[in-house]
Amino acid sequence: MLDLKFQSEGYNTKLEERNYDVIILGGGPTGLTAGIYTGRALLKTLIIEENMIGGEASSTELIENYPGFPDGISGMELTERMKKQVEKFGAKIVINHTDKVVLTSKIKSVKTDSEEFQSKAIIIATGSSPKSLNIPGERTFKGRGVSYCATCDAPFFKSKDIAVIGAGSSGIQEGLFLLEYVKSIKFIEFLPYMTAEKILQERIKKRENVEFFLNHKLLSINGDQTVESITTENRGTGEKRDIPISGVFVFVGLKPNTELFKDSIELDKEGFIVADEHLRTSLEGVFAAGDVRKKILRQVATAVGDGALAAFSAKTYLERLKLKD
Amino acid sequence: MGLINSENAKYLKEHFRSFKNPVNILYFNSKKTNPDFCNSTRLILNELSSISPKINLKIFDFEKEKNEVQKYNIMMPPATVIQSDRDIGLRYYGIPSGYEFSTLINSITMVGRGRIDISDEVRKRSSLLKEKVEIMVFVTPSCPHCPRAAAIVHKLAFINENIKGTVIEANEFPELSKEFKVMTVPKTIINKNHSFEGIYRDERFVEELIKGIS
Repeated sequence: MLDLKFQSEGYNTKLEERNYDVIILGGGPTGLTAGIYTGRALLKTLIIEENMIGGEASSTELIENYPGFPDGISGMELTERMKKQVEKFGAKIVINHTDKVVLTSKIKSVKTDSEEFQSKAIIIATGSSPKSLNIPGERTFKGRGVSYCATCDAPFFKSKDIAVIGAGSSGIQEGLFLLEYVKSIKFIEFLPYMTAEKILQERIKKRENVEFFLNHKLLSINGDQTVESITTENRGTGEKRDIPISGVFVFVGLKPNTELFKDSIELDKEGFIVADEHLRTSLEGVFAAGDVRKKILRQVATAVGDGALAAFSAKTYLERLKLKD
Repeated sequence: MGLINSENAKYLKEHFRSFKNPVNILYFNSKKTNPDFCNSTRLILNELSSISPKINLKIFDFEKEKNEVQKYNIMMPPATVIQSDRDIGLRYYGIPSGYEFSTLINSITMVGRGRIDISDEVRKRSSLLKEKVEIMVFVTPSCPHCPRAAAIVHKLAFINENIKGTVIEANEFPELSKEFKVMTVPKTIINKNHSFEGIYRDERFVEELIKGIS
């Protein structure tokens, strides 16, 4: 049976309305949940998404730890449902690149590639993106054996020996998916132990064609036209080793999408937005929620909680603003 | 239940109702070349056209109807041409399944509405291209980012008749993927020589396009 995935939205939808109560930057689970809550609070809401409704979550093949779906649910289906729900409560969605934000004034402004919008409150839910390794060979072989998307590129590595960098939950989950295509996987993990969820560790350990290089640092990705090997270093013994492989899939954590805000909002040393328990940032009327803020667990389950809380805080802020006026 | 689930079918029916123009889909089928892929594509397109009277489907035999194959410059089946009353250079090679079903719907929507939403700058710069350009973008059905890359290629073809926008499902055409060294998707190839990988913003895409031509 063919699977037909469909997102019920075109791109760059133009809107007549320029002024909103709340603008939510980011249309992943956090932004969509915030929109459901602000919509139900009858606040005029605009969600601006850079790439894909559903964000990073929408590209997850199967989400097994989001409550309410005992058999798991595809990221796209879950986020598509969230999108329908947010639209039901009146929030507008635009897919466009955000060029510039002015957050310091009472009325905030957001400029996209083609339009400019204003609001009294902003919820930043721009999420995070996969980190790169910044080692020799990574950039050279990007698209020639180095990949950051298992679901996109797995078929190009059919029956090949590959390496997966990172044995966190993403690395192991994507590795399990890759095993449907590849001949073998060597997992390279910087830490002396795997950080993936235990259930995922159990699953991967049962597979025969996998090998783990824990406490290993990846030094370089090597080859001529395409990837031919990687060089690793055992962090315990200092032993260096060349491992012949044809592909490298990188899952070494996330970097926050905070480029737009770095000069105006307090960030931690890794660039994540610092927010208090009400998800208020260092700027009045600006809230941060989901993967983009400093927190210890980044999951769909924690994202939706953040979305609801940020919406509630924004609503409270707008009510107080009204009283002052 | 058909291939398009009832919820999506209901949504699409309503969605197609708002179309200003009818959409003509020309589909090149084959029972000899890639028969399984062709069969799946035919089923999807048949279902789509049955949802709305605004979607017209015409099926050609790739092996027998050589005049049409030549006229539309079809490389191989399954091939889908999406057009209004004339050929505007939109091609899709392969089964529009997985995430690529969104690509098909986006392109149909563009033609049906008769307009696209794109920044004035991108529209202006891409309208200025006077020479013939072929943009190919390789995709896979399991790539969530690919419909975005396919959308810009089809949008540019829609704006400028000198631009031909061809989307190719990489898995189904391994020889072509090998020829253009596709190891990641989306991969875009301009005039068969300049290539780049990943998703680019519309503005940057047009810059790459201009670079590729010159």
